[in-house]
Amino acid sequence: MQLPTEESLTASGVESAKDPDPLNFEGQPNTAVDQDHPYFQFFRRKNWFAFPWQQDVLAAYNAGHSGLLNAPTGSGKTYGLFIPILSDWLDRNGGQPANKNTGLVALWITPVRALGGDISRAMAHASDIMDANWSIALRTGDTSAKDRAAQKRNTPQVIVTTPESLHLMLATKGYADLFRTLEVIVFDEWHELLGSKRGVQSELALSRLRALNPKLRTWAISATIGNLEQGLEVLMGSRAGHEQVSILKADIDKKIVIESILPDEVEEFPWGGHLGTKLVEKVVPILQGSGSTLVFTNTRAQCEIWYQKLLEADPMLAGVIALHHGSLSADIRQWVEAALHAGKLKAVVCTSSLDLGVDFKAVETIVQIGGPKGVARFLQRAGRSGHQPGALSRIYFLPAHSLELMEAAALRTAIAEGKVEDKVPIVRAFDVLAQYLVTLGVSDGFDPELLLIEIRSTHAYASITDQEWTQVMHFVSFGGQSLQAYGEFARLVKDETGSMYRVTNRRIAMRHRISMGTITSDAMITVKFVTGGFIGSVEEYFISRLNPGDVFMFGGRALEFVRMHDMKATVRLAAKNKKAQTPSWQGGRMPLSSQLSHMIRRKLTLAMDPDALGPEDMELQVLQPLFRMQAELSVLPREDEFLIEEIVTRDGYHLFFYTFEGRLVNEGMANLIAHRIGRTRSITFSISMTDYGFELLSDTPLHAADLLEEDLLTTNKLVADIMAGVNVAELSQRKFRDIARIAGLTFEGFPGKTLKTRQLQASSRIFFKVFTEYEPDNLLLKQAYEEVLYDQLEENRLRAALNRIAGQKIIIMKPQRFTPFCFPIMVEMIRGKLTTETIEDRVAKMLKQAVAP
Amino acid sequence: MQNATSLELGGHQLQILPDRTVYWPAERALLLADLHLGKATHFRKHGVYLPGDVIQKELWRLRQSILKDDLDTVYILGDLFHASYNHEWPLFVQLMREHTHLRWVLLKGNHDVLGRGTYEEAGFEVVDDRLSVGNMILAHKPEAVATLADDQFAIVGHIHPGYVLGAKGLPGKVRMPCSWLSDRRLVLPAWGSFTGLDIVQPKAGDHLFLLTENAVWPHKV
Repeated sequence: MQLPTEESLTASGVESAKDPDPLNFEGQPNTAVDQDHPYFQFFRRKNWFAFPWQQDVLAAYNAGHSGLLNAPTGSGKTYGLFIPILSDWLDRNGGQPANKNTGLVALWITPVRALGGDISRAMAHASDIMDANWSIALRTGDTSAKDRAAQKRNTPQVIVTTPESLHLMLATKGYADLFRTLEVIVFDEWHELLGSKRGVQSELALSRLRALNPKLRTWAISATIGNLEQGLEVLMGSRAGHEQVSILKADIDKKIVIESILPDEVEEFPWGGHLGTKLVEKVVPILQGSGSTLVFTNTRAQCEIWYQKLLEADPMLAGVIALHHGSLSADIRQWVEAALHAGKLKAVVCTSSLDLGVDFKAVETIVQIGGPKGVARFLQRAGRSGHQPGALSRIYFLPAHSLELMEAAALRTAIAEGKVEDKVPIVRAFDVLAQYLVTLGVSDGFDPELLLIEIRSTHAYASITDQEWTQVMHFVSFGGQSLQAYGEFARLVKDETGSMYRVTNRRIAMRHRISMGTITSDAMITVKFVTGGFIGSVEEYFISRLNPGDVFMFGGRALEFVRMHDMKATVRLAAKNKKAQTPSWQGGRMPLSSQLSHMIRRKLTLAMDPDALGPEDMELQVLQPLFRMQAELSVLPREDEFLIEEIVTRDGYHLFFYTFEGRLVNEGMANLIAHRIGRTRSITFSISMTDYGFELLSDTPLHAADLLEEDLLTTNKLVADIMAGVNVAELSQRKFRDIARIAGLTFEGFPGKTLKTRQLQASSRIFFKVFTEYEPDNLLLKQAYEEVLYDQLEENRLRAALNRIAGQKIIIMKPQRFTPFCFPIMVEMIRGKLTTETIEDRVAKMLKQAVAP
Repeated sequence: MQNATSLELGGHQLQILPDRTVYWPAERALLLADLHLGKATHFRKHGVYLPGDVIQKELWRLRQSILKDDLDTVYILGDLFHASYNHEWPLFVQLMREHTHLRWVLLKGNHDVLGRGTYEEAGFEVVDDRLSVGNMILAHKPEAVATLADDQFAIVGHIHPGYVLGAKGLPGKVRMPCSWLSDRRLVLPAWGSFTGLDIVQPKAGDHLFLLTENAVWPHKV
């Protein structure tokens, strides 16, 4: 039985040569659908059989349902949904092909622009086979003005596009005419959009399209996530419960084998981060023995380091190994992708930049460096190899430190038990709403009373109050929240009818169109050669620490920093003998998911009984020497125990807490506890954390047993204490910059016109300060704090963790020396501080030490 | 708590104040630089929204700064007004009119693009390049005092000096504005609140005067 995958279909003629094997036909045809339906003509003409799940999709679609198809990438999901759409339309039109009056039938939304080409080719192929004469158009930021004009003259039947480009279409005058005939909208890879602001954008666009055509069918295709049903509910919004919906599963089993790369000897102390590159020798044979390999790392810095290490370990790799991460220029990335496609590369060291995107058939093997931190992400990466139906996806896991080996055992069990993370949908993102209002204002305007009904029909804004709506309307019209009018800043204005709001200023309209979107990046500095070649971009934070002459690794090359000018860093290739540093990009570091956290705590309990361990837990077997040392110096905590270690050294008084709850929760809890301790004394802490635990270090003697008397771990006043304890203002400042840009409050300037806007440049620090001082109840400012609280500090998880600890037995140990568990935390760079001393006290202390930074 | 710090520069006693001004008792003069008034409105006009009351608070701060008995002259060392004319200018002029007993001197900065007549009408003595007060030279940009005679000293603005203080063994760093004395030249901090900092790299022998809300911290590098 040949599975119709996207790839096999684009290569026409290959699959039709194969005869269908009736013996392999699983299940009976779905009797709900007439076998003469055009749908089956497609399969007959292709010499394929429709899988039962494919027929179920057809039945649900024919019945007019909306729904969600749960299917992994590369499983024939495009056809699984597209053929029903096409054949349903043909059926209703008596088999007549489309003509120039047909209009738009379907919108296909993909999160990855690069996938649009493959998808639209597959669709065009299907239309050919079924003589439907459908025109399939691709609409992305890359679509030329000429193609856009052509699409306007001859309306295609399908537009394949991204959420951003869909919003751009909504910013075009007369958009309603285009969408009035629309029958169905499909959100491909919905799991990628859900949980992001792009998902919220999708919801908003959907609410508008539904208002134009209340019969619009909505479909999503999603890989497995923990909350599939909620994923569909988000799309349905207020229609959930009022419309027939189906959740269908493409029952395609993909076999995944996880193989840990083990050190020859497990040391008793897991030196954080150091083990990884020592194992490089073991990666080389894997690369040599396979077709193309993708080597996934968790950060761009690791990516640069591993590229170097692999080249050093095997110089023969020069020319056939490449580097791929988000800071490299699009040209370089596209070149790498093309070379990978063509099978010219032996290996690519990459980050999540290659998690998504077109399938690379040449890729046979995946190596994951460092704990992948989440089940869904691991599955996604594993799925980047083994495309042939029934093929095994083999993924090698290389721990950054030996304790991370536990994650391999935890992943294996989580995958077997189907425990995948939820994607939590974003709600009440006022920045995205503000942008959307201006978008509609730029095209045909809107009546706020009517629009509010549409907006409340979405999942994201169901709870918006009248007052909040008024505030949002105020700041899209004159900026401020108070009624005080600032004539200087006006975007939306009431038109002569008195009810419609529009953007009348052409300059504002143009500026809005070029700055739309929800993906924002940190202030990035362009890296260029003295001779002019563009290499990529790197965070301002990193460049600001370099002095001319310093050497850093970037794009796999050692570069010497020459100077910084106009947001550009000029560099030249460095002399061979200079020692380089690697940029420490701040993003991209995912915390351990709660699914994996839970599984790791379970595995730790199992590890106490090595004789009972099965082959699926071989990593725990390997780690026995480390576990024994931990038990000897301290204890190995069971699932129902919470371990605190108290160690005194020359550096001061260390307290280690082991939550196994992920970096963010640990950061939040560390700051919370430090703040609560500091309420009654003037004290300064250094705070370090990993995914497994955190450390508080102080020069004041502290005893865990005494401290616990102070109710440090209560959930009472949790939010207030986090707000007071964590430097929320500092974190919010970064968030606020993005929010202000999405909402259109700030503007990065017209491309290539930096000079003209120079008098308009101010750092996010200043913006934040001014807003905090003069408009503290600004909705966008509050949103920044909420994003920090819920996304960055994971308040919900922190609360759940504290509740769990409340039910655990707390064990306080006072080891005479550092334990294997505390080692990885120790070697993390100090990431935070908390102090209850005043600025003035601190300055005085620092000046006393008189050490320049 | 006004914690002023005295400094002797070229035989003149100066007081560095935490409100980002410098007081010169012998001349009964107050020196301040880089006010950047009008900036919030300028941003709004160009589509970057900022809350409206920045100017009111700035004018209140300015009134506090010039509320001194022994004061005759206010020297503004450039970048008084951020950009082209907007409604914040007459608000500032109003403040000047309430203080006609003072002599107002503006050393034009690169941001001061209103016509000379506008400043003079408001009551300013306008100086384009540099002004000598005895052996003390006042100017906006440090470049204007690149050459000094052996007995000359200078006070300038323009660069918005700031400093990041950290110390071994103490977590975290503190970032703050400062006055910076280097080679007989004193660079004033930016007075305006809606301004950024340029972190300076002092060389050995330089003096910094770090400013926190209520105090001045002399720091020799």
